[in-house]
Parts: sequence; C-alpha cells; structure tokens
Amino acid sequence: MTTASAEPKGIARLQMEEEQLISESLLKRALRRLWHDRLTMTAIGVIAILAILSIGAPFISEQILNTDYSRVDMAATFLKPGEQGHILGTDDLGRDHLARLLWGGQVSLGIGFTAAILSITIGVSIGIFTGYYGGIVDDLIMWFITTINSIPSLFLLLIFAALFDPGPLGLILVLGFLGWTGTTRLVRGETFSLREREFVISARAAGATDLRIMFVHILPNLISIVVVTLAIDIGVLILVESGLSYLGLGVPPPTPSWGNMLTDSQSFINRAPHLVILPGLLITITVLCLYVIGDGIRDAFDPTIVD
Amino acid sequence: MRKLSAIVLLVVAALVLSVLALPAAAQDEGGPGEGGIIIESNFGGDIATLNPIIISDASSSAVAGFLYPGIIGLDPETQNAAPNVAGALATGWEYDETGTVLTIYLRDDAFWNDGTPITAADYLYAAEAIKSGETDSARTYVFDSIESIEAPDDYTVVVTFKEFNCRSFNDVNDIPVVPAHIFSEVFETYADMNEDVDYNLNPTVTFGPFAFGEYRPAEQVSLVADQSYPDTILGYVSPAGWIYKNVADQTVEIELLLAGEINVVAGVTPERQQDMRDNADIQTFDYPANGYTYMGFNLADPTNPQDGLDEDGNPIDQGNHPLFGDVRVRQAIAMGVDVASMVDATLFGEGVQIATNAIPTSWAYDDSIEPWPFDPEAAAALLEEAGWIDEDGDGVRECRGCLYAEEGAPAEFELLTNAGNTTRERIGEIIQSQLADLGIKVNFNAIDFNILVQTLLGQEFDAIIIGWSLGLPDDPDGTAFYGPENDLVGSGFNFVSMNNEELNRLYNEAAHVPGCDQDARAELYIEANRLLRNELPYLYLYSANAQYAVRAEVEGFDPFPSFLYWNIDAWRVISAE
Amino acid sequence: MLKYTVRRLIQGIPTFFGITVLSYMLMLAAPGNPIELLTFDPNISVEAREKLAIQAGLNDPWPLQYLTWLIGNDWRPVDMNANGVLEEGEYGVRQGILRGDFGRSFFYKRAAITVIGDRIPATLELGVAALITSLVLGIPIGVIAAIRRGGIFDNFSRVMAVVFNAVPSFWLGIMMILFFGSILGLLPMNGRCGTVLVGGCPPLYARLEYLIMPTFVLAAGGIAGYSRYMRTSMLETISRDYIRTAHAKGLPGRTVWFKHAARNAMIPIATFLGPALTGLWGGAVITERVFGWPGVGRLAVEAVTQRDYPVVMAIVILGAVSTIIGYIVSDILYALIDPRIRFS
Repeated sequence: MTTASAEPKGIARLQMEEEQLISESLLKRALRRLWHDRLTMTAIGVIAILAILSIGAPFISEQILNTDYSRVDMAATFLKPGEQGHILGTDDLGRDHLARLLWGGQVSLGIGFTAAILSITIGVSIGIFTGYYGGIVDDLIMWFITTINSIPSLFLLLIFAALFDPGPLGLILVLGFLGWTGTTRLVRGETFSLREREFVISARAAGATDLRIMFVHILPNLISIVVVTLAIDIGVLILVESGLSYLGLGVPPPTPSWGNMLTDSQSFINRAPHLVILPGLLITITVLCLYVIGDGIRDAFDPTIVD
Repeated sequence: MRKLSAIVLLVVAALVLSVLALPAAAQDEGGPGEGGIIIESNFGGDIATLNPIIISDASSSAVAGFLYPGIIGLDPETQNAAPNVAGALATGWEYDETGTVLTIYLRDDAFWNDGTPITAADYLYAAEAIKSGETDSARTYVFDSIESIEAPDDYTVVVTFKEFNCRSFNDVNDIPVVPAHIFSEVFETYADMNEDVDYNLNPTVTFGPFAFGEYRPAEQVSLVADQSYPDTILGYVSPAGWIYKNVADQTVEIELLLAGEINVVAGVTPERQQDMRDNADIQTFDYPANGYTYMGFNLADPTNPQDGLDEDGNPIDQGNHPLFGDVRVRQAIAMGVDVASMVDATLFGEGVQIATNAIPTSWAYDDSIEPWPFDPEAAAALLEEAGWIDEDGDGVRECRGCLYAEEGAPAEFELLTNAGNTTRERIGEIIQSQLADLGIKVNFNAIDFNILVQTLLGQEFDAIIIGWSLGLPDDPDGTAFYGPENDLVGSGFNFVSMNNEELNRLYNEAAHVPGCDQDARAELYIEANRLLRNELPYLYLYSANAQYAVRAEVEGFDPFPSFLYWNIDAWRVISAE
Repeated sequence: MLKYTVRRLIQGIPTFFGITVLSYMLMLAAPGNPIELLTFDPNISVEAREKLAIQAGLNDPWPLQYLTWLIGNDWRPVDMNANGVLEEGEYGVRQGILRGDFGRSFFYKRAAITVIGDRIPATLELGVAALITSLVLGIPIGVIAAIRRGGIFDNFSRVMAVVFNAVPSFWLGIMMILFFGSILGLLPMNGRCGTVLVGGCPPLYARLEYLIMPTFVLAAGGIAGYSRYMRTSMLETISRDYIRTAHAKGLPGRTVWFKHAARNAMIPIATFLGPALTGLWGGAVITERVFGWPGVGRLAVEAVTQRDYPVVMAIVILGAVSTIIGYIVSDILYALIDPRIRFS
C-alpha cells in the first residue's frame, strides 16, 4: 500500500464500481423480469414444493404416514389409492406408495441436483482456469476434453458405473464426472472474452491476484450460464437416471428412485396402473419445470430482449 | 345396414358350411410343410454360433437342438435317458462288469439330410475336437471322467471311463454329434472353428425336423421343415418352419403374443402367468422350472477366504463366519423368513417352496422332507439360545456369549444379489424387512453381476441370493456345491465353504452304487437332502413355475416339463380364415 | 483447404492413441472377467476355465494385452492350445487393430468386426431417419415459431418440445407400443422388418412402418432441440441490420424471412451435423431395446455387461474415429458456409 499505486488503484476501483453497477442492475432487472414471468415462477414453485416434500420424506413417512418406504406387508399388496389408509395405495410388496414416491423423489432429485452441482463445479473451475490462462494448459485440457468426448459416452457411463460402488453415491460420482466437458467449453469461451474486458484489465493493473480475478471478477459474470446449465442439467440427469434404471444400471433396490419405481412397475400396468403412472408423471413434471426454469432464467438475463 | 346384414349372412353361411364340411375337414389335416410357421420369442439374447462343439449359450443351444441328433435320447415324459427316442441315435447301451466301459449301440437308419449315414465317426469327430483343446469349447471337462472313446464299427461306440462313477454317464451326452464329413472339410484344423467361418452360422447338413433357414443378426433365426427327417409322428413334418424372433423387452413380448405376431412364449414372467391362463386366445402349460432360488450363507470367515483342502487333501481351517458359522443362527433365519408369502408376493403364487436342492420333479425328491416352518417366536428363542440377545433395546441383537462373533458385536450382515433381476431384488427386500423384525440387521445390496460373481467366487460375501438352473437328465448330486474339493477361492462353486463328512460320504456312496440302480441311489440322495435341510448351507427358497404360452390356433401343443417341442413335427397353425 | 484437412487429421492421431490407452485401461479395470461369466456353470471344471482364459490371453499382463490388441500377436510364440507347452511354430493368430483385426468376440465366437458390421446398417437406418426427421420437423417449427413469436403456434410448439423432452424415452416408447401397436393395431411393435421364414429384410421403402415409432421416439429430443435452437437463432438474425434493411427496402415478408433470415440462422446448425451424425453411434440404446431394433447400441450394452472386450473396444474405436472425423467435417462445413471464417 504505497502512495505510488494509490492513483491507478483509485481509477481501477471507480471502473470496477461502474462495472459492478451495471451487473447489479442487470441482476436486478433479471430478477424483476423473473418475478413477472408467471410460467417460470409457477415452475419454481412446483420444484420447491417437490423439493420440500422430498427432503421431508423421512419426517412425513414416519410421523404422518406412520410407515417406512421399506416396510413390507404381504397381506396388503396392490391396494388402490385410499384403501386401508394408504393415500396412494401400495405396491407389489404392500409398501406404501406415497412414502416410496417421497423417498424416491429425495433420491432422484438428490442425484440430479448433486451430480449437476458436481459437474458444474468441475466444469466451471476448469473452464475459468483454462480460459483465463490459455496457452499450453488450455491446449492440454482441450485435447483431454476432445479425447473424452470422442469416446462414446455410453461406454464411459457403463464402465464408470461398474467401477464405482452401486447406489446413489456411485451414480452421483459417475454422472458428475462425466458431464462437465460441455460446461467447460461454454465457460472457457466466455472467460476468453471476459478476460479482455476493461474491468479485468484494470483489476489486474491494481495488483489483484489471478485467483481473485477469476473468482471475484469473472465468476459473477458467468452466473446466468451457471444457473441455466444447472437447471437443465438436473432435468437431464433425472432422465438419465430413469433410463439407466431401464437398462438395469440405475439405483439398485431397496433404495427407491422414481426411475427404478417406473421401470419395476412396468409389468403391472394392467393390474395397478397408479404404480406406473405416478412415478412417470413426477419425472415428467419435474423435468418439464426444470426446463422451463432454465429457459426463463436465460430470457431474464438476455440483454437483447427488451422489456 | 346393408353391410351388417351382409356380415350376418356370411357368418350364417360360414356356420352352415363348417357343419357340412366337418367330415371333410377331418380328413384335411394339412400336409407336409403346410402346418404354418411356429414363431417363438427369444428374450435371452442373440444366438452366437450354431456349431454345437463350441456353443455355450442358451439361445444357440435352443436352435441347435433342432439341427443335430443327441447320442442318447431323453424320454420327454420321464426326462430320463432312454433307447430309441425320436431324434437320437442310441438303440441301447450296456456297461461291462467293472462299470467303467460303456458300449452304446447306434441305429443304422439315420441319415444327414445330404444322404450320408450318421455313424459313430460323427460322434468321434466332435469328441476329438473337444479333446484337442484347440477349440474354445468349454466342454473339455468331459475328459476329466472319460478316458477314451472308440468305435469298433460304424454303429457302435465304446466309452471307457477313468473310474467307476454313476454320474459320468451324463458326460457322454455333452459331446454332440456333427456331420464329420462336412466339418472336416469346412474346418481344416479344429482351431479353425474359433475363426470367422461362415459355416458356424450357416449349417447346411443337419438331422432333425427342421433344416437351417436363415439368420438375421439380432433379429431372428429361421428353420425350415426338413421332410427327410425319419422320426416324425405323422409321417411328415407339418409346420413349414420355426422362427426364433429376438424381443428385448418382456412387456412387448407379451403384447406380440396377444397380437398374434408370435405364437409361442416359452418363459412367461410370473406376474403375467395368470393373465395368460385367463386369456381365451392362449393355451398355457405350467410346470416347476428346472431350477431353484436360494439364499447362500458363507459359513467360513469372509475376511480370510481359504480353500477347503490343502494339496494333500486335508481340510484347511477356514475360520467361522461370525453369524452363520453357528447352525442355530441359520435355522433361526430359516424360521424367520416367510417363504410361502414370498412366493405369493414375488412370484404371484407361481412357484413352490422347497426344503432342499431337490425340486419336485427330481427323482431324488421326497415330500416327507419339509421346509422349515415360518415361526418367528421359535426363531427368536433359537437366537437367544445361540447367544444373540438385544440387551440395549435398539432393535438389533448383539453377541452375548455367541459362538464365533466378538462379544457385543451386532447381528448384522450384508446380503447381495445381482441388480436387474427384479424377483431377486424383491426377495432381498422381503428378507431384509422380516429379519429386521427378528432383530437382525440386513444390509441389502443389488450389484452388477460381474462384481457379484467375483465376490461370490472370491468367498468374500456374507450371504447371497441367487439361483441354479439345472440340467437334464436330472443329477441330484451336490458335490459341486458342497464338496470340500470344490471349495476353491476364486474359482470353485462350493463358495459357501461347506464341509460335512456325512454329506461327503453319502454323495460318494451314491455315485458308486453297484449297477447305478436309480432307486438305491435315490435313497442315499434323499438322506443327503435331509441333512442339507437341517444344516442349511443354503436357505432353499423356491422353485418358480415356468409357463409355456402358445396361441390357441396352434394345434398339437402337448408339452412335458422342459420338453415343449418334443412333438413339434405334428404341430399345425390353423389360420384364422 | 486440403492442407487444413490433413493437418487436422494429423492432430487427431494423439487423440486416437489417448483414446485407445484410456478406454483399454478403463475396460480392464472394470471388475469382472468374461470367462467367469461365460462359464458360470458348476459342470465346467476349474481347469477348463483356466484353459479358456489362457487362450483368450486374459492371463497376460495388461500392457501385453494392449499391445496384442494394437499390433497383434502373430509375431510371437503363443500357447494357443493352452497345454502349457509352446510347441514348434505355435504363434498367435491376431493381427491387431492397426492392421484392421479387432479380435474375436468371446461371446459371439467370431470376429468382433463382423459382429458389429452385422448391426451397423440397422443403426444407420434408424439414426439417419431420426436425424432427418428432427431436422425436417425441427427447423420449420423453429422458423415459424420465431416469425409468429408469442402466438399460439409458438407457445404450443415450445410446450410440446419441452414435454416430449421431459418424458423418459423408454416410457414414451412402451406407451406408444401399447397404444399404436397393441390397442389400435396400426403399427408393428417390434423389430426392423417382418417375420418371414426366408428372404431376409425387404428394401427399406417396403417396411417404412417399422421405422415410424422408433424414429419418433429417437427424434423427439432432436425435434425439440433443433426447433428451439432455430427459434433463438432466427430471433437473433432478424434483429440484425441487413434484415431490417431488407424489410425497409420493401421486399415481401416471406422472401425476407425464408430467403435471408432462415438461411443465415441455419448456419450454426451445420456445425451440429458432424457430431450429430456420429452421436447416433450407440446413442439409441434405449430405443433399440424397447423396439427390438438390431443395432449397435444394444450390442454395446450387452458387450459391456458380458465383458466382451474385443467387441467393446471395437465399438469404442469405431465410435471415436467417426467422432474425430465428424468434428473435422463440421469445422470444414462451418468454414465453407460462413464467409467470415477463413482456413488458417
């Protein structure tokens, strides 16, 4: 902190404040737009309700439903909704369908959310890093990404699924570690252009460390990309989870997930349609809402769209 | 309105005509190759090869079964080896007085469909190919018991065994009969069978009701009627052909049957069997499947897997499993699991509970050996007696003076099965739920089959749910599963590390009954099974029902268990018109 | 341009080797053993299994297995009959992938490349049909939605796009089979062509009905994706100056929309085509399974679960090579279409 550097730093601060002012007003405008976007707000509401119900699954099933997702009752199989106090009926082993749907939601949403966070964290970190430094590091990482992307993703998915322990945690790791390359490419491109912007240059002139520039100055400008990717990725991952269940590679029982509930009840479509329809409907609605949210946020942040 | 009356008129006319035509129809029973096409769905994966020497998958065997004769036939009704069975060669056989030399007499009226007689040389060729070790046939094991095979003349085969053993007889049928005159031409060396030789999937010279038609990869295999086949019931082969059509989804499989796009489903899943019985368009046949499902207990210490015997044949100390080492715990678990309800819930009642590894169709089955009753109270009492008591009231018992676990260790174990098999997954969930009531904590995991096989053969598991499908003819011996010589870490099938002297003695005696009299052998096997029922190396669960479902317009459907097609040459599909 | 292409191809070589090493190691690292699976049968003795493992080279250390796979083993003595003795002149028979030999499938007992080759036509048929369908439907929907922005068609198409994208595809497939196949009896439920004794599959035009449902299920995502992309791209383009100029010059609306705006908006789609074509490779596993379609995707899943290493690796390598080429082609396409980019 010598006086010699005081002046440039002052100028830099001024410019930074200006930039921040702009991004702040952008954020404000985006939020205001979101608030007025009824479709997106409804979707956010639906997801919030589903999330709360899923998180509350242990409490709801124990305290309110007085049951457990794995409590087998062979005297009460295939009950219809409403029978014997089972609000949504029971499945082929007499387990409460509502409790299983709630727990299944916890697992499916949990996997989607955590894996998406994981892959975006990896993707954004590497993307900023390689975009900011460029050069040989960038070449190497891009080569690695091209290599990974050239291997059929199905193969990677199957092999990784075999390498990790089965179960939700393994699936999170597999999906998280496989999905980051797209985000990296996106973030890298954005960082390329951001690092030439004035507020970055002046921050650098003011002596800010690279890390500080990357995470304090560049990262906030990527927020819309991150949020949009996050919303869409969660949706995609929930679908991937159900697809893997169909191939027999999803979350293994006894843990319920929407995907394995849908797959396992397939053959009961004539006997107990509610077992099939509900998980399918929940998956569809959830993914639908996440896509809508993704779109809505993208529009809200889009500077080319005028109010 | 005019349309309707026209239809009514047509129906009436058809009825009248059909009544008038009845005597004529009785004579008109179709003719050679006019009986339509039999289409069976194949859920089991595409065929690999039609060369019976190297076949190792079920789909390929199902197709090749129509194309090549067996040396000794199985009577479809008794499921036992019998002389003069249609489609097989042996007219009789006899042992010498030592029981180590088997002479098989072959018929002289069987010809490959190119006119070449089928002789002992055709059997010898396959035997030599397998023995050479150059092919990748997995059947080299037959020469563990067989010393040599010779052919004194064209229609006599003499098999010499290394030692007398009643079980060796079945090895004879594991060697196929192939047209040697063609094979030796197509395959310059035995090793050539491993290569991409077109003949492996396009066999032209065969013997059976059908000859090879064509193969469409991952879609279907078709066979066409072969009127040169001599062993027909009607004097000719009625169906025009048989198609094995790949279907990858079991829901779709049933829809195809209902829509008439296929006319045979040989393995209806339990949840659909009742639907099939109730459907007027479908004929069904239910029978106990030739196999069973069980929960296997690792009796030895899973943290330190050891072989059963050392090089000199002396037992190795394998330690004891903290829980399952004590037979009382296994018995308590047997009484704590409600298998009857399990059959109802996971198989929709389509199965029978079993007490041992003999299923009801086995010749060593004795219904006086009953499964353990479902009795949670007795189970709890037995656990207390074995020193497993829940003193801290957390719902899980702890070791309080038990035999093999550390004092205070919880009664907890890991139960594994293969992911993707929904029936086994449901069984695991039921066992987990019911043993929790008994104060035993079960950590149930469904894992990838590859990992399961490694954990299993590596003997590093606690307990496992899996099944065995059995071969024909029936062999009640259990040495492969319970013999100490097969307790080999990483490769043997006695992965539960069973070693019971009495059991070993019984199996050994049963395999060496002079003259191999089946009744005398059965008595010994029943005694062995009684022992297994009490010792419980496996908790034997059930044998599921299998079902053949065939469309109503197929005439001649008259199967025996495991023999759906024994009379297929007399089948006929009545067309709807 | 030739120079550019050659340089890109040379750049692909290290990527190719990276892929081979990475996938080979991953595959061998996966738990499981193909011989154990093929012989999970108490009848088969330990010795018989051991013999099969030796013949398949599975007991060799992994660098040697990799090398054998890459350059073959016909140059070194190998105990082919697994009798424990190396006899005179007993050499390997594999030539390695660099000489076009992808090895022999453990399960199918013939050359891995033949097994895959048998499946490629079906995969291409379905994949190309789905790609064409998604382009032919997706692009016009996107353009019209952009023109009628905010209108009923726009909103309807956006909702449908999202809905079809949000349904698990196996579920969509099975529901379609039940409805169109089973209940209405309109469309065949399974397979690629009719079940006939002999005569093989008729030419494509004679069995289009088999293609309808699987194509739709596979294309549902693509239709949605392309229409959304096209809509955004159109909206961006029509805000550009030259479109405004064209409007101002009094050109008729339709000409401006379709001749100027849509053509320019389609440029980015061209860059998708390369990767999209190669993405078809094994990308249709679920659809193939639901509809019993005899394609590569199903084979890939089976091969991985059976640990049929030669087949798995052949699929990976063919997929990787076509992806690398796909990227190069789409870059070249992009440069050709977009005058702002020059080859350098």
